[in-house]
Amino acid sequence: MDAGNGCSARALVACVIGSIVLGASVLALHLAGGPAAIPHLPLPPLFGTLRRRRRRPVRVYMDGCFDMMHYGHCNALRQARALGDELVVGVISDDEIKANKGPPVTPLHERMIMVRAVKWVDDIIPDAPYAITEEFMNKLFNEYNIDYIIHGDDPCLLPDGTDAYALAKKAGRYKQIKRTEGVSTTDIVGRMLLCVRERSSDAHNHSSLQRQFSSGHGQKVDDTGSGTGTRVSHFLPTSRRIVQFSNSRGPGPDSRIVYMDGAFDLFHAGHVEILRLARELGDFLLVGIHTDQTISATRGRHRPIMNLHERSLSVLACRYVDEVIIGAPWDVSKDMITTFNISLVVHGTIAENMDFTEDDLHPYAVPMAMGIYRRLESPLDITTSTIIRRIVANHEAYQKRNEKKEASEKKYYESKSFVNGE
Amino acid sequence: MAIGLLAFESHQGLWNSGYYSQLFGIGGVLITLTILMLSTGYFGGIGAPFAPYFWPYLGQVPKKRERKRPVRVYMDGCFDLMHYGHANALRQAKLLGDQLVVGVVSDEEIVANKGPPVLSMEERLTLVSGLKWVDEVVPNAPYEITEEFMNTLFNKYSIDYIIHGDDPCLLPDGTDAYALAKKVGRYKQIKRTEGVSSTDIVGRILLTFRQKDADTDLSVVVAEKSGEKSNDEVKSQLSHFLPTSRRIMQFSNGQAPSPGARVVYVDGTFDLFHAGHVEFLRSARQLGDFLLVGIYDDESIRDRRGCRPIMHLHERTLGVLACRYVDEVIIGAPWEVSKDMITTFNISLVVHGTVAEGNSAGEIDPYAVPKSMGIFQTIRSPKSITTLSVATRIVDNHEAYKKRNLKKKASEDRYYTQKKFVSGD
Repeated sequence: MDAGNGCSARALVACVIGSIVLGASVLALHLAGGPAAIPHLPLPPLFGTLRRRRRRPVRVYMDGCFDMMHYGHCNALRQARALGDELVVGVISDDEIKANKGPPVTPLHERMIMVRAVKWVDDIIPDAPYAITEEFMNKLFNEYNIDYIIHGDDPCLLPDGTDAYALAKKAGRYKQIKRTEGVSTTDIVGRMLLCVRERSSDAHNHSSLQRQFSSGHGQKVDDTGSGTGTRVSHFLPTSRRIVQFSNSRGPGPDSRIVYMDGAFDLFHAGHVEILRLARELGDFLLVGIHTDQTISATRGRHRPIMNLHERSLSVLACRYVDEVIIGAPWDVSKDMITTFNISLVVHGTIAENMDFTEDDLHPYAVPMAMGIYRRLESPLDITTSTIIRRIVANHEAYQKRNEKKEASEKKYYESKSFVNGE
Repeated sequence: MAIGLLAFESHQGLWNSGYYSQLFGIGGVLITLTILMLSTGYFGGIGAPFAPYFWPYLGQVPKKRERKRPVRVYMDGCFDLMHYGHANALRQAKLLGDQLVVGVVSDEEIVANKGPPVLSMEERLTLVSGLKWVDEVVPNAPYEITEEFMNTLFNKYSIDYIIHGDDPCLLPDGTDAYALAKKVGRYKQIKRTEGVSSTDIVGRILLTFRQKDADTDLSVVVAEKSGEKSNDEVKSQLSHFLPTSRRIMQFSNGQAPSPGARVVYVDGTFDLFHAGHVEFLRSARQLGDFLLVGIYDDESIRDRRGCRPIMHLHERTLGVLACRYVDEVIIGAPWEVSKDMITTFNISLVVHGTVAEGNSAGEIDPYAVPKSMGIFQTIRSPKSITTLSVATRIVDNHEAYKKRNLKKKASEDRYYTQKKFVSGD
């Protein structure tokens, strides 16, 4: 009797479920207007679930010195990230850089701050070795679960002339990205070395440094400088590059928009930290980047070292930045505040040209009058001049390093061919 | 058993229909499978987790896709001296619907309401048609939307909404030009693009020619016509354009050339973007798969031509980017086309037009490298319009334009004084 009841109950449940399924099928067919509803039976979700659960994110690794971080570095990291799901970045130690390239301008902890601030970086390995030894490569594959090691299409040679990525290539775990044209740390350092030489010789040169280097068709650098300022290629900003570096979303309807402006020349850790603080004060950070003319007028004809677009892309690559104004005016006007719906205008305590003593020349007079101006305590006391002074202090070593690098660069560009890539 | 019987009875009609006989079979199979799963120990373990997949799926029954008619929006304008503010307005209008119909006001209507236009109707139609977001163009649109014309828009052109910017558009009698559309609830507003207007551009041209050196022929013409009224500054510069990364992103199509694509490169100043530019870019685009446009920076132009361009680099960039034939631009392109640049962008062909303002004699040929590589080509410019010819028209009528600018400036002053934030892209 009990067995009979159980059997009857199971049959009952089966009939009910079957009827519901049948009804659902009829309803589906009716709504879809055709037999196409049959493939919508519940099997696909099951397979989808299994497939999704089995997939592990592809992790890629890229290393570098990232000394004097610039938009070329950022663009390389962006491309590396596009080859996988998660990007792990190895930052080479100070000692390794000194042994292989010469003294770094920025110490490791500052370079770590810079790399971590880039939008596309997920994890960081400090004190990475310059050459990827077999031991370190196995560590990447097993401990860090790295799938591929990434590098640009320019060769990276060790002091003994061998390929730094030979092991990874042999193991089939190497992928290549396109080198960002027209920019390198060597070039930026070269601009500053030229600045030093001009200043010391007191030459009356009217053209600004960035115009000479960035435009590529200014007057040639004199040969007496042993070619430290030679430029083989230069950066050509495209609309597509700006698209790639930008966030796709604008401010929300009720977003609290914070505005910060500056030159942001030689984008450094001080810039990163002040932008991070500014971002915390609102929902959307709009950064105004001054024009080359504005900076030359306020800081001297040797500034800026980098041109407007170079500086814009460096700021755009920072994860705390939502949007930039390319060529922002010196004065923060009421019209600008209205146009962008700015809620707060901020400025750091550590910044160049902090001496606007006269009220009518004060660029923040309007936001002050509106009560939306605030000074921020700069976390790091680094300015662009700080970076330049470090290079000047070691200019002999940097000049020697630049000459060595320049030969390598020239060889690369002579044999350069088109590389597919973003 | 009784319930089972009821289930069969309730679906008896389906059994008689040939269309549903297969369906009933499927239902029967499902019932059988369910019985097997529940009645045997081996399938019991699978049956439990399998069952929940029926329930979530019920909520995902696909709805019948409605046959949707595209929302059509209409925007009109004079579009004289087309600039990126016009382009940005049309881009926003397109976002409010699926198809954008643009009315181009006729020459006569412009003369009657604003003053003499710089560009002809044909030129303005070419410029508007060349924009990325424009689907259809209505030539000879009236300046004021009369009730008769509004009904034509709603019925003949199937327009759903009429679009305009947040700055007021007043008729000569002071009334709102869009009052009718607002009354019937078929009006939508977009944000006016800050810092740019045709009035401002005309003002710059008038100012530029007054400041030119006396030894040029054009300057002599200007001096004769303007006399000694150098103090009459009619340039309205209450605000200026602030290019953002987001704006450039919105104007770009964001596509890269596909592998094997034939990349065509053209460069130039592209100041006061005009119909000649549009036709030239269209011809260049037909020579390849991807059109890359290099735009000179302000300093390069001043070094070579002795005067700055009327519009600055980013204004010119957005003007070119708005053109539907353009895939990508180089912002601040170098004068010389180098081998490295050709390699970097994988350029297959470098193109130059026959009608273009030349540089001074003795200059290095900027196309020496592509010529030696055999990838340089000159194409006949479809229209003999240059920036100088457009600017000359303004100078020839500078009295009328000055008067118009003064009138417009008062309206602009009023707008900026009362300006408030308008959300929108």
